Amino acid sequence: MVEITRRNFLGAIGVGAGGLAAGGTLAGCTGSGTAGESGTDFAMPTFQAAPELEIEPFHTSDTPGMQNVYTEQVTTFFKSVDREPGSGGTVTSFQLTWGEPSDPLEENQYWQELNERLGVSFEPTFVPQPTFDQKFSTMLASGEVPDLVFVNDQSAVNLQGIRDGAFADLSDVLAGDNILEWPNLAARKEEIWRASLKDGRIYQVPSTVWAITSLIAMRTDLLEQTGIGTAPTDADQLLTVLREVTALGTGPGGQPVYGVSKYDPPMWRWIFKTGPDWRLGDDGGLVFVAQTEEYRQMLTWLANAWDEGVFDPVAMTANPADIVSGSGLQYRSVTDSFTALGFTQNEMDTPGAKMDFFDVPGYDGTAPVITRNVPYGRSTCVSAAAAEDEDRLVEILNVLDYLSAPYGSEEALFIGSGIEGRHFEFDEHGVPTSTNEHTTELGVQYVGVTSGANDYYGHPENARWGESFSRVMENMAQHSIVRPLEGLETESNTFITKGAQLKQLWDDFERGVVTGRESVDDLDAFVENYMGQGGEQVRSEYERLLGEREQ
Amino acid sequence: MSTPTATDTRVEDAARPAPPRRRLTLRQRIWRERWTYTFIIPGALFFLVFAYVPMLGNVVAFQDYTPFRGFGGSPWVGLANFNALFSDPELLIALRNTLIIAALQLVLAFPAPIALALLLDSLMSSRVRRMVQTVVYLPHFLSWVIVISVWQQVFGGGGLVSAVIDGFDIMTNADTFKLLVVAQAVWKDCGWGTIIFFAAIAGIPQDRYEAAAIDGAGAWQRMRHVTLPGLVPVATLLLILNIGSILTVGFEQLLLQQPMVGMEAAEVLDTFVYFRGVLGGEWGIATAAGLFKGVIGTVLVLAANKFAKRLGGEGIF
Repeated sequence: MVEITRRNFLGAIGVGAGGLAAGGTLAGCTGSGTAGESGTDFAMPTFQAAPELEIEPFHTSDTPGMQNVYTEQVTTFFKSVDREPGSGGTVTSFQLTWGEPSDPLEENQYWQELNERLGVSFEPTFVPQPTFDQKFSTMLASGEVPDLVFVNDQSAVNLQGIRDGAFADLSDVLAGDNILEWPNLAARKEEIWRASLKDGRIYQVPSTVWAITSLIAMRTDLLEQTGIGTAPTDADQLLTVLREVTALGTGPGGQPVYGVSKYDPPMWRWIFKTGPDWRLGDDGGLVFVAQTEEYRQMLTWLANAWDEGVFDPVAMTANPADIVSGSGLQYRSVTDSFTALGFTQNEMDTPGAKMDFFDVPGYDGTAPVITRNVPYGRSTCVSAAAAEDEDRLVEILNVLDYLSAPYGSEEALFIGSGIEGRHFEFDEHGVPTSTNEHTTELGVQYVGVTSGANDYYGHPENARWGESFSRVMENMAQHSIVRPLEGLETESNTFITKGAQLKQLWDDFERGVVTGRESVDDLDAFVENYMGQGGEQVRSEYERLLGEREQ
Repeated sequence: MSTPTATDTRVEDAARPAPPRRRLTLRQRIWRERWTYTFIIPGALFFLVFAYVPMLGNVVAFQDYTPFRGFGGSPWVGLANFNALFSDPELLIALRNTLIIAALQLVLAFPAPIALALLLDSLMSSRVRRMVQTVVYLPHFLSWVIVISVWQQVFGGGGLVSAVIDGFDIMTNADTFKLLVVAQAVWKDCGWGTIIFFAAIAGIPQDRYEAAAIDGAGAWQRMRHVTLPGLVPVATLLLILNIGSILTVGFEQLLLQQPMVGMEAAEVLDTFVYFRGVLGGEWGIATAAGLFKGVIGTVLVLAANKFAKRLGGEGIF
């Protein structure tokens, strides 16, 4: 199941392994594109960078996969949109909500202000995250598609909507310099557009994401008590460290501690250098990662680690124990640890805890292998029916342009934090900090189309971790790879229909081996089963798509 | 329906030749009872809107359906979805697990409320009985998320019991998972299930117990020969209804626990439909699985009803 949380969504999560695909011909699309047309026969939208910020980066980098790091926040904000986006019409949306329902318009100053600034009557349909896919299907079945629809193209039912022509083909409207009409939409690089194309056409306005969104954090107060310390250099040393952390029994606050409290597959795949789900083999063909020696070694090591009690016994459950206060190593998002109050908050919450970022080792004493995210996250589509009217389409895109304002702009500040004095105040570092009042008014914010440079803007309170964050991320970026299927992952027809099933099958087996329910000796049998149930077909489709791209 | 007046005059009437009675047509009889029929309307509407109209959606089982194309725009594919379904190895796993859990529930969970009701009925103090009743009703009102979290905290790897017995963890044991599912269901709903049996026990005439006592029956014999036979009609009715929904073995309960014990142990027909349809977008196959489940349920109800009648019971239709 692809899970979207507010935290990882706002952190602009990348594409995971469980993606599904919109394959075949995208037929029946209306609006500015040509129905059923296939292929990139239009100029990719021109990139226009967002205005430069008036703050200096703490760390700059040209390493692919790495962003600049800031440890201070902007205090002067630029205006990213000069015009009033709307002309008095109504713009509807279908958007995710995580918390309480928003206050109704007449009692909601944020919403009233939003309408004022957008120049339209903004009418969202709020969809709780846990039932998003169900509601999405219901919305499609009703035939009434709202103007702006939040789309997660890693979900089969969302992709079906795109494939069936529910959304407008925006390729020609946004082609080349046309996009400069909407400067905030233009503040995303070509690679982002290119990776998010469906059948070679633009059906979605994608969010920018970090190439690396997560990292490993550690409790130095726990790791320092082990014989190896905070910098194990291979899998054997790592096992010793984690075993010894578990053996501590309790942490400084008397809470039970374990080597690891939650099972998060990506961090182990970095350490064991397995790479992405599909790797390029020596013969140029694709190899399923579970067929590789690295993956087998990873499972063997994890099963052993589990058996030795390195993991919290509830690490596999839907509600694992507190992953911060009781865990030596923690798989954390950048947002959760560094750009929000993160580590500072953790240390306040768990007296005696000392947090830091962990240098990821490779299992064999060499460097790890980090697989980068595809360069876009969740996206927004425009209703095909609404786009039939050109004026209406322009108004909708104007609104989307406003909502897509980059970091450092007045608009982004308003969209993200609300009205100063009512929803937030600037703290001593210039960080907009919630007043914790009227928070339910903010339920109406639309946050699905981030744009701009997308650097790492650390919370000033976390400035003391600026150096270790930069070092660890730089190291990860230097050993990061692009997945060979970037931009093609959502193009396999079999993956669209079988992706969720295959993912479930694999996940189930992997967790089974780790917890001792299954044996690593059955890995070959599992691979055979996986390939037989559609994996082989997925591979051949991907190989064909790769071949076509090379030509 | 005869009235007291009609009964009183029957003997007298029998002596006279009966006057010719005009037979009313169905329509006339409905018209005559029109006000009675109006009471049926809300219930009938409920079933029409929420049960019969949605049944039309089963056409999806014969289509390559997607929501945006709708029923009208999705192409017909004949029995292709059923072919795909029955050649799917996961269906076998789901069906096997469903049947095992259903059988265990029938054997272990179904009699549990009867036993509990009898046990509570034997309590002399009505105050104690009411208190126990309230306590055993409560879990019914908890959602499965909470129930499973509570069980996790008690019987899980890091739970209370494991603090006493090192390594104790029944929550992630795939081998005993099905028994765990039944145990959770019993804990959650057994108390609630006693309500109907209490009502049945209260409906047993007191004079039967008195007569039995006069004849020298002890407490155990009174329960065996008076109370239990008094519960048979209700138990039969509930058993037949339960058999109808036997393949619905608890969706949330299993979905929540599947990551802990794996698909091999915890995939059932309902989770299969959820993963294929709602998450996987394979609406046709998911609907075919749902239809398959419905057909089996119908056959089982008909069979159970017939069986009950053959055993001398009343059945429900």
